Amino acid sequence: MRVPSLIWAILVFVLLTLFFEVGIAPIAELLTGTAAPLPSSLARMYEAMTAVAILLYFSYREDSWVEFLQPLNDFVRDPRPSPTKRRLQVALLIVLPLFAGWVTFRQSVAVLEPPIDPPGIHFNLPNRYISVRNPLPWTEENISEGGALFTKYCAMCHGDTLDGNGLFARALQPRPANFRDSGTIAQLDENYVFWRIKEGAPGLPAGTIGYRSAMPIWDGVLTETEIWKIIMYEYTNAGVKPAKRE
Amino acid sequence: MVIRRLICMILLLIVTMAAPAQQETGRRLFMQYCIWCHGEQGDGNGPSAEGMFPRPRDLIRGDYLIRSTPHGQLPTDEDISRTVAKGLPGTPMPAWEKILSEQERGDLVTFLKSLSPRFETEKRESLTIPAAAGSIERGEEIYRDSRCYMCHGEAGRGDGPITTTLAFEWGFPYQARDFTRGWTFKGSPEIDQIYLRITGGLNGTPMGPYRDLLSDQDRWDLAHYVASLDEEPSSTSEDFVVLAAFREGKLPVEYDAPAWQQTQAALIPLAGQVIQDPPVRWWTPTTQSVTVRALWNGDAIGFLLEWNDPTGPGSEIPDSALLQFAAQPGGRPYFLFGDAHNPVKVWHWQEGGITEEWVANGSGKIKTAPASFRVTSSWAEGRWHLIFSSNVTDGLPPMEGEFVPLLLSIRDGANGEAGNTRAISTWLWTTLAPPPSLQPWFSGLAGALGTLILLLLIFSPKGKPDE
Repeated sequence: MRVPSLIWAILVFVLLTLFFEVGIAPIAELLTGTAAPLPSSLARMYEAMTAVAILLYFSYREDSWVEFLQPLNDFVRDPRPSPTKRRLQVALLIVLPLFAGWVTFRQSVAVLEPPIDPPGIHFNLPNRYISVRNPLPWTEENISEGGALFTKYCAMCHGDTLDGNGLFARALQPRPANFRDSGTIAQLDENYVFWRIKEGAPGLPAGTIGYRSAMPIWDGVLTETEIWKIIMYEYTNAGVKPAKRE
Repeated sequence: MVIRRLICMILLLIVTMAAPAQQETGRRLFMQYCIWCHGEQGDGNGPSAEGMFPRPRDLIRGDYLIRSTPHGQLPTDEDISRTVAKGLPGTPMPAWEKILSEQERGDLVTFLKSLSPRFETEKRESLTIPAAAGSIERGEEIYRDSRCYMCHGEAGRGDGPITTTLAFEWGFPYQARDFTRGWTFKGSPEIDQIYLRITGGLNGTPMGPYRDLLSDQDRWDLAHYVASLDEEPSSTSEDFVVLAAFREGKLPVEYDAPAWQQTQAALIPLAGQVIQDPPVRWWTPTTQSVTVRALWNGDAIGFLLEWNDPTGPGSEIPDSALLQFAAQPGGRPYFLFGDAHNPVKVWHWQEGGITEEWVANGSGKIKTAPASFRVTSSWAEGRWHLIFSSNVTDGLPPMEGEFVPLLLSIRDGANGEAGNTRAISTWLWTTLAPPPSLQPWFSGLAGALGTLILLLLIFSPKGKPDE
């Protein structure tokens, strides 16, 4: 028995949709090591493109289009429908309008969603910091002094465990940086971290998510030497290394 | 024979070497992670211990809070490992379970025990926890009869009449637990843990053991009652939105009015103000969270702020609270009193009925304006209740259909909080819930009817274009 082309179309659409919704994240994780689910808006777009491609494929020739629509025509325009088919037709007449009504109702109830912060963009290191270098050696003594300073000034937000979960962290939006994450200090050079500690959130452009953060300005409270010691402690105890200079 | 003897000797050697090796690994971990607060000697005098509340524990004394053993005894190895893994919630002692493996925690415990000679001589035995049902009502009676309220307060908010006099045996100030904030229970708010605290007390603190004063069932009932006081799970707001619910008629001025109690509360955590000095960057605020409810009726808007404060009014330095809004539509000012380009509007209330309105362009640039809001305040059973109310169009940026940045801040005078020494949130959002409307129902009806007509056209035999 030949499978009707409408069934094929539905099957292909369902499989691809499943792939977009749940299939991409594990494959991405397998290939790159980090879980990266497809943004839902992108998934919707791919699904719409899939639907259009399938319709184009079947409507390319007149006869294949007629064959494609055959099961629908059989169902809707049967001059002498069987009692079962008649019942199905009536059910469709009830269910579909109810569904459409529900969807329009939901869409016209005002949705209250707060504005989303623009995603974390990378801020360029100001020119005056480009040639700045850590003048201190990575000695146990320097790192240890950095530890004492970190615990006193930084740990209440960034956490003694350096994972951004200090006692104050749950009150802060955006959350304090997690230094154990590969996306924070591990992908930055030391002088970039130096800039962020020295100038804090007010040193970033107004209107960005970085400017919204509660990171204080430490210039004037901590000396430059103290800041370098804190930086060396952060890298050492978080078990990560500064990114290579380009 | 020789081989057997050799094997025996090697085994003996491994056994005697294993403990010092464990202790050595533990010592290394301690030096890497713990000395900053607990000090290199483990005496609780690390370089950052000064100004911490509560102070880091002196591990040489061997007085551990979280134990499964009777009062006065040392903790079991599992007890210490648990405290290291879970941390002490509500204090600066963090949870180490994601950083240290079980093996490493075990090594650390071996080292910690070596700090106090008591572990060599004193016995330790775990208490058994009865697996029994408990009655909250019976527990409440026992709470009264045993006078738990003297420290913990009538409503369990840590505001009992003698609560401000409490101290550790070694003199540091001590705070009776506020039972409405389960996440600050040092040994977790699970019922069997509460049972253990009641039974064995907290060594070195005014919380004594009730093992000989109350029966097993009594302590179990009491544990159920204490657990029932935790308000946290029902009201935590993770999305940082304060939604003003719509309500016809006059906004109630009593905080316990049903209209307020029926409104969804947002629980907003607070942090210390560590951005600016003078006077000081503030690491030890008392107020760890505030609940907010908002109502509006088309003309007026009200914000009900409630927070726990065991000391209440009457301190030398007055308590105070403020609400801060972005002053201009669409503005995203710097969260601490705005910036040069984006002003903020501040409603400031101070104990004693003082209200002030400020327009600020940064911490040093605050101008006082005539107050466009009113505050009714009261303090009862360890909790402040404040209602800020104002005309919705008067002085606030447009809120209808718009999300406006909102910030909250509390000062506890009894904790020495004055000026910019305060507990503070970062920017939250506030907006008005739209008044109820029939429009969505009409839209839904139209959608359903339209679809029905379309379907009928398709089904009708006349509409057969392709035959």
